[in-house]
Amino acid sequence: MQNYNLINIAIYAVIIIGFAVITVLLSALVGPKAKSNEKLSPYECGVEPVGNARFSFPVKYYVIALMFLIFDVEVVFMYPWAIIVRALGAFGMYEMGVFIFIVLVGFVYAWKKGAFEWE
Amino acid sequence: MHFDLNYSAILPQIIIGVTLFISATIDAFSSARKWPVGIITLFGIGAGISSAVYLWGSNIVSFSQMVSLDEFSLLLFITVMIAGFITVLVSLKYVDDMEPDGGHFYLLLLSSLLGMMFLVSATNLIVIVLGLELMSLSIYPLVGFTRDRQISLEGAMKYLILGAIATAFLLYGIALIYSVLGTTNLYTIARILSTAQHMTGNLVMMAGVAFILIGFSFKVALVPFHAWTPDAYQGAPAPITGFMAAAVKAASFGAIIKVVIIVLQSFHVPVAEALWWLSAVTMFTGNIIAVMQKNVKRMLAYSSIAHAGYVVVGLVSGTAFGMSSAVFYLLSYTFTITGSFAIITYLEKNDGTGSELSDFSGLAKEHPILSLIMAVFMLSLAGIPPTAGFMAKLYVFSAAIKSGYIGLAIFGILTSVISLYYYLRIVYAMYFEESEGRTDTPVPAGIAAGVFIALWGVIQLGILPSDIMNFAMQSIQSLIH
Repeated sequence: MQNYNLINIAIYAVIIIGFAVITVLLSALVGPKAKSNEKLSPYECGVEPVGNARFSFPVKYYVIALMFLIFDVEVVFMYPWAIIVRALGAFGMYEMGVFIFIVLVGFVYAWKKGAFEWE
Repeated sequence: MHFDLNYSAILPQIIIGVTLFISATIDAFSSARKWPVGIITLFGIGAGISSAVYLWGSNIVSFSQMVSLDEFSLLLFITVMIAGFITVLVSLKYVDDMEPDGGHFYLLLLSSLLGMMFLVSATNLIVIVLGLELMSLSIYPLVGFTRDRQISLEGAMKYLILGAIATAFLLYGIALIYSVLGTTNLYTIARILSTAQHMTGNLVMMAGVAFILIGFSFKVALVPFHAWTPDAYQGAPAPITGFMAAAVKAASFGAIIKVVIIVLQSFHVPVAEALWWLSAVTMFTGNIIAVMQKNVKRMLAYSSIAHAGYVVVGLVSGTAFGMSSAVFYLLSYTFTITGSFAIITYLEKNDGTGSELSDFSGLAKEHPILSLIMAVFMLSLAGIPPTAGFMAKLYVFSAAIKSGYIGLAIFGILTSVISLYYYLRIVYAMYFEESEGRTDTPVPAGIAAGVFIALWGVIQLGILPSDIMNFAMQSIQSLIH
């Protein structure tokens, strides 16, 4: 059984929380306060904020992100496989074939369901 | 290079997975009506059930001790696949009525089945998490399947957020256990614990076990982790509510039973006491709140909370007989609740209404057979002989009494007397109240078939329970080496 020294983690946690609380409190107590209209705006200089930040944007972006994930994960799995493909032999080829087939079915499904049509 | 890969250890999962691919391809290339996808799904699940029956008796641990195929996992495979089969039968017409392009209903259902099967066959905590997540992530969109109903989306959102918290608890518990023992393999954990008596009372280990218990309690909706259940069950499409109550519960309980039997037998923490309280509070709260419900789906949601409490009574007793009675309870509840929700599916209208108590008024005059079957299901839920629910409650409570938990057994029986009131209120509405003019449509063939399969199960388990109980005993024996 490993016997971890949890006191280190406890000290670490106390220091982190203390640092966060103290910096926020200090700046609130010591910092100068000038509550003019200009000071209270989100950006003192730069573009004027327009509208609400929580507006809805097209769901298509989510679909694009999902499609990216499919291909990205596929490639991530293929790198380690490519390094030991000789040692794995024919078995490794079959397994990767099955894996690519699984991803391919998802790809064809998304394609036929219109995931790549922007309109 | 040597690989520990025995593909027959995951044969039922492979069948469901291949069905998923075939259904996805057909869904992608087919036109607006999606019932052919459902038919393919039915054949796939049927093949899965056959393979599980064919493999009965095998005991294979493979994939570097990640999954095991034993009688325990096979019996739970059969349970969840029966729930899936009846749900797909019931949904054949429903899906086409609700969504013009709703083939993903069957695909999500298949992938959730796949997750459940990995969940109950896992012998490694990591695989348990993977199975649980695959199951949950497929169920969330199914709850929000009818996306023009606001109540449906609300239920899905609540389920998603609380489900994520549950997973966080589970993962944190696993991390704590790993930090102490350095392994996630259930059998290795059991071996270490049985030789290391000084682990008893280790606080980190206790916290890990408690977190895992809390994570699972969310999934099976034990009080006080049940807050999402009424909204998710009421908002979900009726067939999916039945599927959640039957299969999601059965699979999650399967994982709990497995962890309790393999790991906690050798780790003397007061798990039985914790389960005792959870079960008592759950039975009481679920049944009391169900009495006040006007909506039948919401009422059955609270009733399903109460039923989870009855299953836990079997776990509390801690004997092989108690565990088998819990498995038997899961199977009997699966038949009863999928059948009840098949009938509610028929009554549910396209805008999501039609499941109020008043919608059952006078049903017996227009549909005498359907009402009779609904009455049988309600009696089974209440635990009246000769139905499956009675035998299940009998086994669970007698196991509790044999282990000396007489108080809990009496308390459970008292709460089930309370439950009689609201189950019989549905029967009363069907037979003794006047109907308020219902637009009459014929019962679709799929719903009729699903209802009859469920009825067969309820009667079979109620009249000849000993065969099934023997299977349940064998399944528990296969876990105890």
